[in-house]
Amino acid sequence: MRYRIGTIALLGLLVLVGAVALARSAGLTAPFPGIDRVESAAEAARNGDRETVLLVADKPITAAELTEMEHWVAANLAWMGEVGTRMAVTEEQRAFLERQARLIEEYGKPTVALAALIVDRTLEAEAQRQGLWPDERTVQARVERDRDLAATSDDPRIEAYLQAFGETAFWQVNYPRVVALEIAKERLYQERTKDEPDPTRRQARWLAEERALVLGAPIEVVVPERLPASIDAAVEYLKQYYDLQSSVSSTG
Amino acid sequence: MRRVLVVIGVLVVFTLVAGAAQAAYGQLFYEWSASGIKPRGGLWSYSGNYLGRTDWNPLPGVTVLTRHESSVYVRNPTSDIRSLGTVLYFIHDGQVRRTVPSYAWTRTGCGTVYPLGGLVFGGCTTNSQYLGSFDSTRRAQDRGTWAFFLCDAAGCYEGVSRDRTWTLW
Repeated sequence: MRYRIGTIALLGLLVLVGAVALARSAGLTAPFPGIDRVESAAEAARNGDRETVLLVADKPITAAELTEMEHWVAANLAWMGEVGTRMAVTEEQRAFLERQARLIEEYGKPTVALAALIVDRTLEAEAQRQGLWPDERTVQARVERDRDLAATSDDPRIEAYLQAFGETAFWQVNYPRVVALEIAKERLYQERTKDEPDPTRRQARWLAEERALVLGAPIEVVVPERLPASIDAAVEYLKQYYDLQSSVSSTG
Repeated sequence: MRRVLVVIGVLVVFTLVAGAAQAAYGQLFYEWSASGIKPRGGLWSYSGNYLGRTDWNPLPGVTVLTRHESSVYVRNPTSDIRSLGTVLYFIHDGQVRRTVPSYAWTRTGCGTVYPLGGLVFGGCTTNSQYLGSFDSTRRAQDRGTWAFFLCDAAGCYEGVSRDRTWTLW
């Protein structure tokens, strides 16, 4: 009798442990909000139309990039919309995310995508003008580091993006271009803010610098009918975006 | 003779108390990292270490917590920690006891020297609110989750490190 109770107790314990493990595993693999848009972004980046739609600071923005960025904005918005159900934000952060999500919805995803690419090209042009663009060796070292990093990451978006893009094409063709811009932006940030030790003031200064650069960049539309949103709307969104970021940054 | 015995007795008690008090602390060291993808396919990454110290004073029948201090030092080679939303969570006994947003972190918190390379921020949990949340009479577990959300003109995206647990004492 005692043996039977022990066996039942052991089986019960095993079932309990299994159930807990299953629940944890299900939590880790739960669908990530906006992941379908991440896959669409990768497909647009790989197969999209390379026609130049506009120039920002003499740097081209293609139709494919506009489409890709619109998918990224949608993916971000999906996450921002669901953030209220997650634990990992404070009340202040939740309020900030809601304000930024409302701002994106107010201007629309095509406008925000255009605005984000205007920021990219402006910073790219400024980094090159200042001689901060990384050389091939630096870029290759970062590609190798990030390739190792991606292999160990938990972020399901990395896997989704890589699968949709194709691993070889991504690491050999796309990522060197992507990461060169990342490094250039990091260097520009360091260069413009290096003498400010306080992180809050440093961020405030960077936002002011970036805002001045972006809003002062020359924009030339090449194919007006392929422009997904008006330049004026994108610039207006950027002003609102910097106002929002600066208000949070300055209040800490 | 009696006076000598009293002195020896006091010394023995002092030695025992000092020995017990010296043993009554725990230190933890733990390394972690998190990474994710940005719009346009770039990767962001953070890594860092957690250093925790807990002191308590064992008295007969009760253990009184006297200090709990946790510090986290973050390396962020992709420089996106400046983005809003980087926050460190200290979870004790299943409840979030304190969240430390990046702007509130201190570079000199807990007196630790931060390492070379990358951007480094430190967070420190030494405060009465955190201390007050402990049931100092029983063992418990401390957990840390590092949750990030990073923002740019294309919106905000998130990253959360895996929950890690360590026994405090």
